Formats: sequence, C-alpha cells, structure tokens
Amino acid sequence: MNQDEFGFRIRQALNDGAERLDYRTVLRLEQARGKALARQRRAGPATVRLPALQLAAAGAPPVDTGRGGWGWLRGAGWMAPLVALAVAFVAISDWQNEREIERLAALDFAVLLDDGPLEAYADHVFGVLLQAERQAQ
Amino acid sequence: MATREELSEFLAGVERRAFKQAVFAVRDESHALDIVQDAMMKIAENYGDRPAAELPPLFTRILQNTIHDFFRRSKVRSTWVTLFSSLNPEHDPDADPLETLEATGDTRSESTETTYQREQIVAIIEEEVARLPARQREAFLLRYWEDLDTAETAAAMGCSEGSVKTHCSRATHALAKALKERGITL
Amino acid sequence: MKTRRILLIVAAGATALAPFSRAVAQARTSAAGPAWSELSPQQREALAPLAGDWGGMPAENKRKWLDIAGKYPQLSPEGQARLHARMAEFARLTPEQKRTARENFQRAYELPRESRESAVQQYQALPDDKKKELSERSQQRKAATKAPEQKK
Repeated sequence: MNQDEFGFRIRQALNDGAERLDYRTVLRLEQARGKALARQRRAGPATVRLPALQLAAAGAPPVDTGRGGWGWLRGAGWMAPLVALAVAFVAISDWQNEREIERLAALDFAVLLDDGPLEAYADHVFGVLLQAERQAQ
Repeated sequence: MATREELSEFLAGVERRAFKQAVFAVRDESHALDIVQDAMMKIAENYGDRPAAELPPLFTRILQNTIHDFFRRSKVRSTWVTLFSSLNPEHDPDADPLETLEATGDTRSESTETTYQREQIVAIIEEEVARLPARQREAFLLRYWEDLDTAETAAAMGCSEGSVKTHCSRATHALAKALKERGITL
Repeated sequence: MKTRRILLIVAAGATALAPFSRAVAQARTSAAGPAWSELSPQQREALAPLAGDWGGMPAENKRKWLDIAGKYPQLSPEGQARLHARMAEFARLTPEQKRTARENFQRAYELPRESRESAVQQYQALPDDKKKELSERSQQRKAATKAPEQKK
C-alpha cells in the first residue's frame, strides 16, 4: 500500500468519526455557525446602512453602520429619531424572526436525527421521567 | 461576495471536520468547540465579503491559527503531545510498516466487520492521529483530510513543500506502525 | 408649510422603508409560502416525505423545513434515511407536541446516555392508564405554578 492509499483509508475512518458526533456537539456547532453568520461582514452599496446612534438607542443587533443615503434624516428634525426607530424595529423584528426560525430548524434537525422515539419526546409524561432521572443524578 | 447561504453552506460542510481536528489538537471537546466557534466568527467577521471560493483556504489558515493561539494562551502543552513527541522516533530503523501492512492485510476485510467493530477501529485511528506530533498531524490532515496539495499545505502551515512531504511521510509511517501494533489492518 | 414639510419627510421615510417592507412582505404575506413545485429538485428530495402535507403548511414552517433541507446533503446515507423516516411523523405533531418534543429533547441531552435510555425504556414500559395519571398530575402542577408561555 502506498502513502496515498493509506492516507485515503485513514480519511475514510476520519469521515466516519466526524459523522458520529453526538447531537449535543452537533447542536453546539449549529449554534456557533448561527452566531458567526449573524456577524457576517458585508461590503458594497447594496447593503443597508443604518445610523449608529439610532440603532444603539433601539438596542439593535450588530449591523454594519455607515453613512449611506440617510442625509435627509438630518434635515427632518424631530421626526428623524422616530423614523429611524421604526426602520430599526422592522429590521430587528425580521432579524429576530429569522434567527428564531434557524434556531428551531437546528433543533428540529437534531430531534429528527436522534434515535429516541418521537412519540416519547412529544409526550410531557416523558419529561416527567427525565426530571426524575435528573433528580436521581 | 459570499452570500449568507454560501457562507452558511461552507461552514456547515466544514464544521465537523474542524471540530475533530481541534479535538485531535487540544484533546478537549469543550475547548475544541470554543476554537471552532472562534474560527467561524473570525472568518465571518473579517472575510464574510470574500467570494465563496476563497473561504476554504482562509478557514484552514484561521483554524490552524486559532488552535495555535489556544496553545499559546494556555501555555501548557498537553502532556500527551509532549510525551508522544519524544516517544515517536523521527527515524524509524525498522522495516517500512506500510510494506508490512500490504503483506499482511486483506484490505477488504473491513467489509465483513460489524458496525461496532468499525466504530472501535475509527476510535483507535482517531486516538493515534491525536498522538502524532503536532506538525506531522497538521500536515497529514491537511493533505489527506482537507485534500490540499503539497503547495497549499505548505502555505497553510507556513513551511516549505519539502517539509510538508517529510512531515506527511513521517506521520504516515508513525500511524501505520501504531495501528499495526494495535492489531488494525486497513 | 410645516405640514407639507412633514408630509415630505414621511413620504421620504416610506420610500426608505421600501426595502424593509419588501422583506417584511416576503416574510409575512403569501401565507402559503413557496409551492412544492417552486422548490429546487434538491429541496424536494430532502423534503420528500412532506410532499403531501406541503400545501397546507404555514409559511414559517416551510421556511424552517427549507432550512433543514439545506442540511440534508451533508448527512450520511444513514442520517438521510433516519431524517426521512421521522420527518412525516414530526411534521404532523401539533404545535404543542412539537414544543414539548424540543424541550424534552434538550433536557434528555443534558443527561448522560444511560439515564436517557433508561427514561425511554421506562416510558415505553408504562401502561396507558399510568401514563394518563402522570399526565394529569403534571398538567395540574403546571397550571398551579403558571409556567411561562413558550414560543411556537
């Protein structure tokens, strides 16, 4: 057997091992991925940029900030913060909604891949038994 | 510029291998998870706007750096690694274990094994990979698990192509010998 | 004059909001979400067990399943088979049951493997009348302590 062949066989074993991660780890990796995606650096004029000040006031998630075409806000006087807030709220709610859907998708994915019976998981009686096991720890 | 979907798809494809590689390096699953998360955040924050095709080599480098940073921060190298570095002779005076493998093994024997045996074998292989000296393991995994060629591996490791070949060759021999000693034929 | 200025600002604001309204529209309207025929072949392969239920699904559930469809290709053949085997059953659970399933799953994974398996065995060994009894008792306890509302 030459080196490449050997390497290839080791690789097969390693791939096997990577497929066998327990679901807690899989879930943690999904979560890590989600967190990373939330911070993806975006460039280019197509990106929406929101005034940093108003976003900070609304307690927004980290978004790229910059000037963009928002100069007109400055001329709008007392309306400016309200409009910016409204925009920020819509952005946040969309963002949060999307994050929540991803979180559930990751969780459901793990549940589907698991071998525990769905019938048990869906029953809160099973939860009672889990609680008992936990207290026995 | 990588779309969110492209970045997501890339990370999803690489995260398990990255985790395993980190575990081999740091011997701790919890730290390995932190390392992978760190690496993912770094690539997303700093290179999320690069074309999707550039992500794999970037991530490889970032992951290696994050692992090295972890060791630097923790200051104490795992005693396992140090112990086995000294026990794993760089020059093997014995017969080429690869040749011995070929002579003994029916290379198709694994097709008759049960799943359990297969799992045991995988676990042993992972153990032996984790025991390799760091540079040998890095070179081997980059070449054979990440599918990089010699030049790409050299770039990722910051060494010459000649060094890469040496590291790979030593890693292969060390693994082959270790597996043979544990009764595994591939 | 001031009124005109304010109207101008509101109009400008509305125009600026356009990309967001579009996103909102995409997210919330077309209560049906994408039709089965609009999915890619890969998505349809991943979600094959749901083909029959797809039409009646709310848009947000579809988005969640499409997320899952994205992860399907990375699975091993066994993983894909298992996903398919359980997909239809899971999709048909009531929202309440899904909530419970997610909760129980997470709690199950906080326990070591033996405890998890023990709990499963105990559950499967429970006769129906016992299950009912436990169920009622836990419902009462929940109502008494007024557990916080869970999402979805």
